[in-house]
Amino acid sequence: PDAGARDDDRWRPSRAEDAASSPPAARGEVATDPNSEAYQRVQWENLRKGINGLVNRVSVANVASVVPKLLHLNLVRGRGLLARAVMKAQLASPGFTHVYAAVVSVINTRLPAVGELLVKRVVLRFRRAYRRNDKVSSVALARFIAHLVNQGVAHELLALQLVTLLLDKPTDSSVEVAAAFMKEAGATLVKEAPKAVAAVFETLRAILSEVASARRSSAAPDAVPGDETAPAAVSTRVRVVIEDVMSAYRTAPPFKDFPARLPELDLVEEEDQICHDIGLDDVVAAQSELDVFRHDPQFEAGEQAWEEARKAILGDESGSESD
Amino acid sequence: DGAISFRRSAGAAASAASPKPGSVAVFKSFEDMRLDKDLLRGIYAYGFEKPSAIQQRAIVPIVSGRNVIAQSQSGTGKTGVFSISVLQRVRRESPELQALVLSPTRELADQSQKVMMALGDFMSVTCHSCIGGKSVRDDIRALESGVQVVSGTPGRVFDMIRRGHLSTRSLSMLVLDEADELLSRGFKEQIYDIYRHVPPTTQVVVVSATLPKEVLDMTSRFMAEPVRVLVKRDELTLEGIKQFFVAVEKEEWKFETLCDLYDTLTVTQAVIFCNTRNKVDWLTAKMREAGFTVSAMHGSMTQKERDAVMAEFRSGASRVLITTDVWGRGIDVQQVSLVINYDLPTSREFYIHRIGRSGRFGRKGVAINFVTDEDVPILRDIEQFYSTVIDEMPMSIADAL
Repeated sequence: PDAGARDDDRWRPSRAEDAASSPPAARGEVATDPNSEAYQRVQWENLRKGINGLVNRVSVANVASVVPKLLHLNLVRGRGLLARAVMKAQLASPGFTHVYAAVVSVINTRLPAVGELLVKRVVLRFRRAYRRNDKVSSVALARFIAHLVNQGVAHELLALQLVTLLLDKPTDSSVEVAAAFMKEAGATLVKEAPKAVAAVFETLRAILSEVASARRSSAAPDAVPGDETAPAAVSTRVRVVIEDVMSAYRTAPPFKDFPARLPELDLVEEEDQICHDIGLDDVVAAQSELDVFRHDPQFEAGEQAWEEARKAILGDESGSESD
Repeated sequence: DGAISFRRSAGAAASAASPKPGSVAVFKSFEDMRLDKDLLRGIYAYGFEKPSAIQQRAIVPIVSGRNVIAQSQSGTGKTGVFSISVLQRVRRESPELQALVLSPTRELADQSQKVMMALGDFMSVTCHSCIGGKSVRDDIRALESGVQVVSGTPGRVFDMIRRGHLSTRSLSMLVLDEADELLSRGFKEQIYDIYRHVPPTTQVVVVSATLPKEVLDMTSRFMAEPVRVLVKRDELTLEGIKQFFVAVEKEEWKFETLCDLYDTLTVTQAVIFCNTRNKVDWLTAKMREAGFTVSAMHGSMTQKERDAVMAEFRSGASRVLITTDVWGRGIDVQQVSLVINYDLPTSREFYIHRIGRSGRFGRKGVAINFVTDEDVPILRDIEQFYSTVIDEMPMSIADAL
């Protein structure tokens, strides 16, 4: 298209409803009756934005100060929004998984429903990603499960079920996900279930020797259905990946270089944590209705109840710096 | 999926005197390239799975010893191209300096050295970063203890050659990274000075995002019969990057707009560009006040400070990097999903250099331009010059990110 022919008006702020681009100052906001749908919708939008903005801000350095700000928002009403924002952020930036898990961990001690919802959704999403052979999402979600286990929000049994599933019918992708997972969760699992971990590494060793023998006979290993990579590339890559996690396991103590929690993210005493015992195959609901706006006839009562809960959680100073 | 199409015939950008890009063999996997086993291990351990388009085409000709000009957009894996090639070419049994990589900035030189160290993790190849701003004495000590590869900036490298600490006697490979920068402006003389000390049989590899005709002509002075691997000019720039503008009308409304973006989008890490140092300082303070962990960088920082800032941002300790155009180009920060031009760049070239980095390895990047009423002609010029479309940011952007 000829850019030059277009009108300069394109760069003027749009008056259209759909434009996010008009500066907030230019948008007139109207406050009305708390029972009206319009008012509640504005509140809902503010809640969504408040949660989203804080999830975008959180880092290792400021978890401890971001969490209280999150708790200023109505996380009972907004637990679906929080779970959604955290999962979206985690998937977009798996490198910050440990940070998001720490946020959830602290909130979970006060509001276990938040942690429970998140664990359920992560499990559901992992199952779906795995079924669809979506490696990128599988790796990211497995990593989330690892750190939720590290933080004591999810049970280590979930971790063991996960790695068992991955190694049951090993493909290059599933072995890679398993190896990455063991690096993240290994330190916790070795502590809680050393024998199970030893069995996992026994399986990995067996896979490694199969790879080696397949290479020696120079016959291409039987292609695993749904496996898209060429066999030669598969074996070398898988070998490196397995050797890598094995060397992490071999240190004394095992996984010395992959601590379960960074000191800055070790924010909850173990006995205070509320662990959700959700298995990989459990039938759970995503409760996605929590993520969308609905008019609440009991809106004010809900806000009042949250106000009380928030005071109990944060102490009396909570009202002073809210919003 | 964002693959780069290569020109198979002579293109308009190539002058009559310059070599014509011929058809280049394509290697779809690193294994197909018949690389050293330990190098291959390092490549996979580093996290590379499949070679990028430029890597599929440029590595094998370089490894075979040909002079090569590799041209592609920033973010397409050019550092990998020469790093892998250098490591494959180094004779491990010889302790002498065999390959020299020159880059226009200290960050780039440092980064290349780190990439080569990581890829060569299982090879025990020694690689030293020789850049200004670091201790000369340390440089001398490192060079005299014997290194096989040097990655450096022209000034310091030539200084070391002139003083006799850097021996080019056994050099068999010279890489010019971001060659358009190196062969223009202040560096040209230094490059020639270095080149005069290089054995005549030395293989030359030229790597760049852009290669203007005068630079291309210049390369013919020290490259015989090069193989050219290049992309079209149009695709060189903004491919795979979604560009938007936000009409902020007035300068004063920019900050509020920025906060609104953070409430609406999912932002892993973002680079925010301002045009002046003062603006960087101001915005940094303002964002910290708003609860962000921010790193800031500008031209008047020392090398050491800049290194620290980059390390902080790369490690994820901070999620926002605010900078002027000093951030340079081709710096690889994988996670950056968003570039914000808080101020529109003062030149067309800066625009690509700022935006280009968000599209690494086919990853989708998003660039958002803040446009005041006075900025309208600048954005229009950029749009026209790159024959691209920069649309107004829609509300539904939140779903696309």
